[in-house]
Amino acid sequence: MPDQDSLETTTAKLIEDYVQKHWEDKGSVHYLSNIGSRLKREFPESQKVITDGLAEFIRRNPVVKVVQHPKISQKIGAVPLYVNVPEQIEELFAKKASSSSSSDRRWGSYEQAFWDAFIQPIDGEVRYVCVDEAGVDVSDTQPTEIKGKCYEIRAEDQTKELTGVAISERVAATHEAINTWLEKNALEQETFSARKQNGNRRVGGRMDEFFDLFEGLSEEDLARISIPLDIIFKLISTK
Amino acid sequence: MKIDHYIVFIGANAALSTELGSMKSRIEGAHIVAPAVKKRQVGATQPAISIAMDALVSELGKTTSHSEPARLSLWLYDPEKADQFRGLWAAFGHSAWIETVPRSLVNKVGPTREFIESRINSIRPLLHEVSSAAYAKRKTSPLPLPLRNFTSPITAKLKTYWYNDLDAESLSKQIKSFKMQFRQLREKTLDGYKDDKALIFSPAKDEECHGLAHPTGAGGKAFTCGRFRYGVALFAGFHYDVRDAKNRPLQSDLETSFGTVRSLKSEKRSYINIFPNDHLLPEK
Repeated sequence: MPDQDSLETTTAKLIEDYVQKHWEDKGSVHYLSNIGSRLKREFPESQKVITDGLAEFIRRNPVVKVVQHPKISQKIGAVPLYVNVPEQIEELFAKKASSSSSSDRRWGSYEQAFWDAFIQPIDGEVRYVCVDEAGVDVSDTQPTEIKGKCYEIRAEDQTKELTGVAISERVAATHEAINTWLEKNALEQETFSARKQNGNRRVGGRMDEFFDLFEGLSEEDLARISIPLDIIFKLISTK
Repeated sequence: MKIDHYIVFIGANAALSTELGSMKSRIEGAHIVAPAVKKRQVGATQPAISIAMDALVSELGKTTSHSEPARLSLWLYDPEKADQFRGLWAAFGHSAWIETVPRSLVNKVGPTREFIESRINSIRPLLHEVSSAAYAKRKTSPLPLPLRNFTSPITAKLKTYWYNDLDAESLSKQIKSFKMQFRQLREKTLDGYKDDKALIFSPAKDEECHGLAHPTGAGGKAFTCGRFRYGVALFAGFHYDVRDAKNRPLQSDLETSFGTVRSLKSEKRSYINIFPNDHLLPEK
């Protein structure tokens, strides 16, 4: 059995490697929550020396630099020591343009029950999210009959309390929590996406042509489009 | 009263070395050890660490012993690699109080000196707190323990940068927590503290702290660890009488102050003295 000293050393080295690799691949902070989950999974013995939490362990073993989002206090991550922390610390939380990380897909549209699962308090320790062809089912009790696949959401996966913070930041934080959870479970955003509501659209006509114009655009491009309100009203009145 | 404060800077270039030298006139009792290194050795590089260690040993060697208020602080720019930090900690981590200077001050000699001068004032109360535990309360605190030979979760933590980023209040709390954990290892009937290898460490009484004031060991690390612990002076001659918990002859393998293993099996000793820097007496 490895002694306490070598556990400290091995754990510190693993943290350093995880953060280094993440920085090289994604150019952004590696969230402490993700590092913690990975350590638990890949080197369970590390928990013997991370008794007071990962941030505390890194404080005592400063092999990486810990940074906290200036506005969203629960966003805490680590970068390699050689990274110069910019004045705008949030830049470290942004992703490389070329990155294909699931956490890049910030503006996904999810099933309401799935979205709420990251906001509503959990009644117990674990929340179960089961997904099958019929859709997403969320429950705080273990499903008796397993349909499709089920995944666990724990309190540490949820959006933390953001009292007094603007709605836009709360939404961003929830997206971040969901993306982190998806990444942790190696899941795709599409699995929990809201079903497209195309039923109300008339077949044919100018409206369809109008909406069809946007079909090929990416989420980022769609997010940049703004339409004057009076035009919206006119569009609606033509329906 | 003049208080010796050894202020060491790792990996300074010539300009910074000269600038830091000027602190001697502004800080009473300051011994500035900031040897200039070659351009490619600037920063927390291994050559810079070795050069600083040699310079410090030479400076400490001018005095045979230190009084309670003596201090040893070590400064460096934020390391760029984890290995640099590990190298530095391996050399100075158990003897000096380590402080980092923001990397934004690299190549800014004046602001670097000002940063150190200002920060020194804020670490004084922290060092005082450590001194209280490591020097004044040495018999009940784990801080002066020989870190290589006292095997326990406490020493595993003490081997890390446990005081990093702590303010006075949290430092005090942390030291109290160490003391509480240490108290649980106390064996009243044996008058000492039992480690995970069932060795009893009995802190020496003041009248027993004779002989070598600060056993120096073989290398620079053993030398500095014989005098200072986390930046504060150790009580001259303080050591632990170590014996087996069941009073049998010692069978353990112990580590010497320079890191080699000494097996006691063949020596048939009932006890051995171990100093805070892991110097073993009597020697083999």
